[in-house]
Amino acid sequence: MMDIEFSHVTFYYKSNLALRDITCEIAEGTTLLVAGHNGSGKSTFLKLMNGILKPTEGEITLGGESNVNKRTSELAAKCALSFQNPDDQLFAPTVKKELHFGIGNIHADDSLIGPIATLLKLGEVMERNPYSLTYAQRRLVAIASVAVMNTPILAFDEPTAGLSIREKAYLGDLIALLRKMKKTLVVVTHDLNFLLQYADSLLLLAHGKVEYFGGRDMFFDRKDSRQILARCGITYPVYPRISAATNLKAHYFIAADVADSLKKREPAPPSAQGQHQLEGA
Amino acid sequence: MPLALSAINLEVNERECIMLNGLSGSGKSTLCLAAADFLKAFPAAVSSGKIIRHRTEQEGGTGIAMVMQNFYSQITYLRPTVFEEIAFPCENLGLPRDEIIERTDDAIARIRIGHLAGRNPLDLSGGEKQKVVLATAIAMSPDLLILDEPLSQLDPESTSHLGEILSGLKRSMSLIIAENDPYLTLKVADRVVVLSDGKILADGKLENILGPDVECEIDLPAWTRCIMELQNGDRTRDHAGTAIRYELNYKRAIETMRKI
Amino acid sequence: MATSDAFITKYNPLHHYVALSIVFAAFAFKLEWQLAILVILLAATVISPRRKLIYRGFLKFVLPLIIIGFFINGLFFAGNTVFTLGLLKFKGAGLLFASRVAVRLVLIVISISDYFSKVKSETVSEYLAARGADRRFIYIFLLSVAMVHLLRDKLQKIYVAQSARGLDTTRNFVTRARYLLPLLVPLSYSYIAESLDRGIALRAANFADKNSRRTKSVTPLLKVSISKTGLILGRTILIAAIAIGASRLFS
Repeated sequence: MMDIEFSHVTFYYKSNLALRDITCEIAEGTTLLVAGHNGSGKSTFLKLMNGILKPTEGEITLGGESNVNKRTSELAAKCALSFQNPDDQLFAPTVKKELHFGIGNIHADDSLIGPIATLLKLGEVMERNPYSLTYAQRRLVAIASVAVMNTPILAFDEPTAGLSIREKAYLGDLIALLRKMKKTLVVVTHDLNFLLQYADSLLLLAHGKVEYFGGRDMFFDRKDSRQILARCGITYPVYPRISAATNLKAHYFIAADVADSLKKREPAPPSAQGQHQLEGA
Repeated sequence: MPLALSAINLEVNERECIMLNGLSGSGKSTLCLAAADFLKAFPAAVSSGKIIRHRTEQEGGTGIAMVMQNFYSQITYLRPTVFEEIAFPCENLGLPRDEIIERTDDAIARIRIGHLAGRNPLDLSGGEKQKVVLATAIAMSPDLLILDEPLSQLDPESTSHLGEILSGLKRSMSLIIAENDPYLTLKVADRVVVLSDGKILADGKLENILGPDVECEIDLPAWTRCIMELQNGDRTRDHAGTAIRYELNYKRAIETMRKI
Repeated sequence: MATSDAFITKYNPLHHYVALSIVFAAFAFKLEWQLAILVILLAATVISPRRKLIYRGFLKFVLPLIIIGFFINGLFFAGNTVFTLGLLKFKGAGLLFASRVAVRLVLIVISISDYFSKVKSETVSEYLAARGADRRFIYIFLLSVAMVHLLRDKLQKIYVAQSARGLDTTRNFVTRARYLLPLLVPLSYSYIAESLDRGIALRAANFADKNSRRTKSVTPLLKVSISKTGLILGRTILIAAIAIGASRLFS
């Protein structure tokens, strides 16, 4: 079982407290979104997870094995991570060689290259130099080169940054595929509006502390969800806001689900809560 | 050589904010560089056409300030503190020292980076650097401010604050902003120019240019998308019985959805 | 709110005159005098708070050069052999020459690094610009200093990103050499892309035209006030050094 467990993890960066007493367990096959203001500790969380940083206190285990004495390159076979800047990763003369790089390092098989390249529309650029592509395409190449490694855990740091709606749609297809393959996904993002549809659980951080850790739907049912998001410097995600303002019984995360639910329901009178939501625009 | 832009005719009026939307690779960054007259910096580029500027007051400098997509390269590292970094372009204009200090203070206050003023630019995070470069551009008091993806490294709080700043800046300068964020567009844009494959696909107020060819090139607000989904099943009509496809106003969209 | 007074800084020209004098002495003085100056400088280094950094710098960069110098000159100079190491025969004249070069090297390195550790680069650059130096060259120097930090940080980020894809650089030397490419290519690319963008950025910061390269049309925020005592003392020391060196020509 490739669960990820953080047990009372604290981390100091140059004598500043970056993360304080983080405890959470990410079940195998689920998708966790990590969100918070800049400096809240999101990237630190990822780097602790795959061994780049070692906790000052506490322990991190991947699949029951502790991270503490393992190098990042050893842990890459369990947990591959794609960073914020694709230009920190890309080096090969062709996209094809780039996709093979990570696979070669951990001695995995290359069966995922075809399907993932197709999903991300990289098939036509396989023989091109990654640096001749647009920034959005380079980001997709960087993400793909990590996804093809077929590791049980995949982590992405701001995967949607720099992507327009076309590439985001491809990314969404990739995430859906990885979820179908029961991969454990950990995604650090500011773009909750797009990624909430794929999330099973949320980790919301503010100033290095956990403000919320738990199920996605459970979060939006909470009465204090707005205050928690405010503390984390996050704007209330727009589809749940629309769901509440239109008096839908549940929270939805994509337009199609909101529309479907509106079509199916009985006409309801506007509630007091709904009136309040109207002010939120 | 790949064609980045072709047949671009664009007018920017005084104190007007133009949002450049378009998929990646559509030419937004190139158009920003062209507007700032920087295309001549690319030795292999072949470009034609003219940029005509009507300026009533001729001060030093070009009157154009730009924050590039790769804003990291705009931190000069020629000065030891953020304050002096922001003051650098004003120094090059030969302005009096007191005016340089006043402009820099003002820009720092607007962007709310007072806590960064004494820091070394080498120690800043990505988001902090982006704010510093923005403050630098504002301190130049340009007639035209060009911003290429100014939200890329900002967190949601800073993004919404930037929206307020840009609304305020519109009172004293023209703005060209290349950014796909539909919420920023609604907040500040007077006009939207949609680029596709290096050409201008549409140019005008957002509510006037939306159509089936434009809707797949740009991002739209969530409530607009909900109405579009409903309209696919023909459930949205206004009081005249016309099917609404693009509802940009949040309140009206919610009211329409409540009536379903 | 800032005021004009916040941007006035002092510069003591004595520092650069002393450094120049020592560099001059390294070439023009007799070996005994050079050794005397070296002993004084080493004594100053021992009590300096930055001695650990200086020793590390010396061991990493200067000592290897000195050792190479001894080997090359000792082996290939003509003359009598004074020292044998296995099959290698070291000549006396070569070793003496290498010693002189070593003393010269250490004097130059210590005086220059001492100078840069004492003065802030922005103060020096504004001082030079005020005296009419072309700002382009000053800025190239300042940017090079910053680029060392930036490239080092960038290399660290690249290393981390590649490790997260399984790159293991802890194995044997051959494997590590093979893995240099995934580290150097992104570094080179970003360096080159940055250069073009930086050129545009400086243009965007009004530094494009010829006028802004010299002081006249630029209003520097930083005002440098020069220590007159230091100026007189420094010039005296340099003149004395030149005189001593020139006297060797006539002795």
